[in-house]
Amino acid sequence: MFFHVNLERNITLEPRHFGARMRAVLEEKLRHEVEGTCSGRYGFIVMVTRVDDVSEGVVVDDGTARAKFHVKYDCVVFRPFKGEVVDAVVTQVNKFGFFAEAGPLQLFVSNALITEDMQFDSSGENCYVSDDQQIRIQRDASVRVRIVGMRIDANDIFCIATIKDDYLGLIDFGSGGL
Amino acid sequence: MSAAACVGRKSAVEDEDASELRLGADFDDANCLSLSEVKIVLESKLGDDAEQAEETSTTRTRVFEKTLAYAQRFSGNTSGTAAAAIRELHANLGLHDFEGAAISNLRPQDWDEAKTLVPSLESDDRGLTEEMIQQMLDEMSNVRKFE
Repeated sequence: MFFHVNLERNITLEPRHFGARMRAVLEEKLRHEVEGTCSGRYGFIVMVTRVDDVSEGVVVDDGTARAKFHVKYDCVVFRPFKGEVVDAVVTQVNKFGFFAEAGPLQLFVSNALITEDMQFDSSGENCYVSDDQQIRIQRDASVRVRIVGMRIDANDIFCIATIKDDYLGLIDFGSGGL
Repeated sequence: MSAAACVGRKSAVEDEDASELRLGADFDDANCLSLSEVKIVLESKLGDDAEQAEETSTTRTRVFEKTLAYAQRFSGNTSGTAAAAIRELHANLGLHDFEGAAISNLRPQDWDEAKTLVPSLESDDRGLTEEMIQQMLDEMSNVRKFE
């Protein structure tokens, strides 16, 4: 799910940036440091929308004369949750299951979590095909999955998902649009 | 991070469950955005950059690019006014922000699909009836159809 949240962070600035444009430099540095990062707590930080409060600068006493600012900002984050249903795009299919992406998030659906009537087929492009040949999950297809587990690393989140439930599974064969 | 902090974090994550609306302290009261809203925000950033003829670091991160492509693919071309109307429909019904955003993203057709995809709708103390939800879903698809 995407959220709009207020976060805070300490930014240090070198003395050469002190001056009239300091606030602009500070915001630029904040964007550079946080945008595109991922943490287990807040998920993926997509974009800073507003910097709403910058504290007075405090010169640090490590001899570098840099100043530390405490910055509060609003940003758009993407944070997955267990139990959440999301749409995703299939990126890779193999006999153990398939990988998919929901925006910046990587998901894996193992073959134990794919409905029993679907079999792995590697005769052409790798895919999972239903017994009646009607449903075909292959690369670039859109699927609807439910997140069942999350692995949180220092700077990435990886999810395990299932399509073994009502209203989950293939939603279109690929090449965009619904 | 100390080992104790790691353990604390892990148990916090295990306690989260979107199907029961347990999102953890950081997100319980946070504002959720639907995909169409995210798309509007990101595209307006691209528009601003184009207007000022400068490319900022924001739009060049992998996360931004992937999110934009994802939003464009799955948001179903909902305009700003339609997104606002849909948000209001959900607020009128007293839906949690998370449920509202999930419903606008997943676009269920009927009550059965809605409660399967967003199980928290069905919990007893909510006072949400099948008729209320079904009516809201119909209005939602009308908003999308006639915008």
